[in-house]
Amino acid sequence: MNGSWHTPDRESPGSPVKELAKHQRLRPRFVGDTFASGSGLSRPGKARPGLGRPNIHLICLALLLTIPWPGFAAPVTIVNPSGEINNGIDRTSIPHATFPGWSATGTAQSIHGSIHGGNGACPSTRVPKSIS
Amino acid sequence: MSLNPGAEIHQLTSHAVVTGETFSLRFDAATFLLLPPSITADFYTETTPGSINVVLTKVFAFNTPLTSGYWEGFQLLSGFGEFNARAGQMIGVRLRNTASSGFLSVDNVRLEAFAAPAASTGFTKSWATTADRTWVGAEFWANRLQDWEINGGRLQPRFGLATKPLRTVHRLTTAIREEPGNFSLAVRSGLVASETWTAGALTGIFVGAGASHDYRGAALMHHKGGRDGGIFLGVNSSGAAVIQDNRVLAFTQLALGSSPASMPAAFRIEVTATWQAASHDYLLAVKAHDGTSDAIVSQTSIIVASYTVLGNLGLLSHPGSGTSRFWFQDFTGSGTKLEDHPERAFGPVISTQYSLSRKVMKLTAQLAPVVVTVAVVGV
Repeated sequence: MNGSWHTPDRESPGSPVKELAKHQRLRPRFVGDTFASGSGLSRPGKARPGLGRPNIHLICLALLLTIPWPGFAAPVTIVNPSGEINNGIDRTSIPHATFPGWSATGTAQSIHGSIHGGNGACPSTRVPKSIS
Repeated sequence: MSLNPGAEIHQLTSHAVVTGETFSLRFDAATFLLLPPSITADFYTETTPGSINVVLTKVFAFNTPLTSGYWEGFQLLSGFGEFNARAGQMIGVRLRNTASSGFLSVDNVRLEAFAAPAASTGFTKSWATTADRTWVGAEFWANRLQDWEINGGRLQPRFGLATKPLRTVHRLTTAIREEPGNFSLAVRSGLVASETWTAGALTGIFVGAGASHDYRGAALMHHKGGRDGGIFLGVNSSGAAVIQDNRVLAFTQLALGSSPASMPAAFRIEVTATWQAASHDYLLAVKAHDGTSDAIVSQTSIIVASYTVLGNLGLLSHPGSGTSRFWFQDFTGSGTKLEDHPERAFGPVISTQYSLSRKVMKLTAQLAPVVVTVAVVGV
């Protein structure tokens, strides 16, 4: 249901929703708000503070991140981790300009025999196994 | 991403190694054409562009029997401080097919850095003062919800049926950390008074269920084995400590201790997982204690890959070929490999939904099966 509720800004000028938002100073809300509390689902963020003004919260956070906290896991970015960015052409050798992130030696391929390692593009001729 | 014989893929990250750090590389892989039987993973750094200096390498065997196209999860895990000599250098990951025929595919490569060992934590759960009911509590998820109950201060299945094998109760509020550490689990268990031991019956603890899933999806593991089905450690119908593999379709025995001279009336089952710094594996051990004297009556152990212990943990009652079912009491856990997640407690309110229209609110709520014996008065 997320996103199905139109924010006042998306309404046409003079619409009832926009008028209500203007007069009652309603912040745009999403249906997801109802479930956000305690459910782990995201809620729409607040407006960012203006640029040029030092943000003490961000500075403190940056300082805290330099401390080696026990049990603190920091994800390290892997580019194209599932090979999801590819050209969809079977047996394209790696490295390839259309396959970012990975270097290779030998006969590594982005897709082999219509089997690809990711969730992205696949050959248009491939018939999903579930219905073949 | 596919690797033909002799092929490799590698990626240098933008993360500079910090002294004391450790790394966990997770990935999925599948072998095709029943070859190769393994995949090799490396951590490396580069001092000059293109020069790969391997820090840690490990060969991961696919589960046997090899099944073409059967995806499995793997973890290359280093020890804390193992990269100290490479501090300041960028870390890279490499995956290799060293076989001479067949090919394998790789998916979902993830890398995480850990700054320092976690503090030890733990849990204690006793149902001694819990009222008789079907719902087993917010810290657990029972499979199925209606198959378990609290009865006389004990957690137990409501029935034992050969057609309803591998009844499980997952602990939601305790997770297994990715970084190196140790943990121990223990529980008291015994045969429900009205039952007898039947061939193939098992009682004990499972670990490593659903490592590639969100904990909620993993919490549904029961009834059948398969990918990420976990490892069972407990006691069999001879009273012997046993370790069984539920990661394949056939529930397979991995290790078996000696059978005691006489079957104890109850057991205290103790499971430990110990990080092996040299081999980067885990030693999984199970000890079956006499529930009365606490003397060890049987024990066994096995070395497993670090990935094997990741995922959910919990309790398992397996009826075997008959109607055996087992009670549980005093479930405890502790160690640096455990992680508390109190926010994952779930229930007894499962979900709510409401509508508001013209000052009239209509609300419906879905509850866990909280009461079975108390007559419902009214609606």
